[in-house]
Amino acid sequence: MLNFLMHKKIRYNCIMSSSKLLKGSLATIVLKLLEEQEKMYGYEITQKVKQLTAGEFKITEGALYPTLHKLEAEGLLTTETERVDGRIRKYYSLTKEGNAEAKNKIAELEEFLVNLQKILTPKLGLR
Amino acid sequence: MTHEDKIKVVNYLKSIDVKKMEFFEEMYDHIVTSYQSRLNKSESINEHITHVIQPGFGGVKGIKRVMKSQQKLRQQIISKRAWNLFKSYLLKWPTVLTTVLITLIVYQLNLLFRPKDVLLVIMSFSVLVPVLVVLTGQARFYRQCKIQGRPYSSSDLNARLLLLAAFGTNLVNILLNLVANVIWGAQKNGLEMMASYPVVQISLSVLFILYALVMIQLLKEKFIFRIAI
Repeated sequence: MLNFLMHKKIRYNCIMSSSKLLKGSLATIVLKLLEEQEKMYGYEITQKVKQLTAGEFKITEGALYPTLHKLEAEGLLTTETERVDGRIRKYYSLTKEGNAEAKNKIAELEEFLVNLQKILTPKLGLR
Repeated sequence: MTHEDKIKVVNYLKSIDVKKMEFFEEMYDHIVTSYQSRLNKSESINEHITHVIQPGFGGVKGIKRVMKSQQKLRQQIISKRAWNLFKSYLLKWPTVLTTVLITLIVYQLNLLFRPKDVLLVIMSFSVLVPVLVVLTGQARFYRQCKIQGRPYSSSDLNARLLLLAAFGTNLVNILLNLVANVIWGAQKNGLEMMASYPVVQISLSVLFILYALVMIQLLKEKFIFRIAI
């Protein structure tokens, strides 16, 4: 019973910390996906991330939509609406500034990951 | 997805106070798309909302939080744009010429009419024109929503613009009832006192006309007079 509870607690902590890590890179993930996809809607983004990471990363809508709205307010994303199956769908796409910012953010994140790798596995870094 | 299911989604959104076009449409599409792509086909729409949609947003509170943060961002964008337009009339070439021209016209009007009347007319028109344009637009939007059978009757963007359009009336109220009372006392007519100082009278007249111009330009750029889709 104690083992089961400890396992559950460790798993909970892992999920919590990975979701915190994910939250910090959410804007970059959104920009990267839109750089590749041209235009996407909210639900599609959550599913794409789930599919690319085989379900390991789950972006919650409570974090995704504020990020999309913020990027839109900053002028990095633009929106257009289309009638799909009788309802209105809001598509997000990158603006010119958004395209440049996407490249910057991706490069920044990649550099961060390389440096993080050096700390986590210093031996690999020395090779 | 049945028609009844769609009605349930609409009613759910209304019950949690999602009543403005922008967020309503986005949420409605999200819920319907998510329900249509569900893995467990025996799941009802109510179950889907309770077990999938709400937890994803962090409950009803989470949905409302997302909606409010979007409204706040929208307000910031509108205010920023309004401020930039206003600044351009004071600092940017060649729009600053408009301000110079307005000042000269006000000066000329003061020679032809009583400065108090000039100020009163300018204040009234500058404050009322934007409000009337917004209210007419709101009424038109409301009518279109009813004709098209939309489950909402207003747009958040329009509501934010109405707030800014109503700012002028508040400003007049504060100037005449609070500022004037503090400076000259309640016995004296605030408008008359303001008009008795040419610099104050001309400055106020110009600022109110600029406010009206900024509002009209902002409404032209952003106000949703008709539903496009």
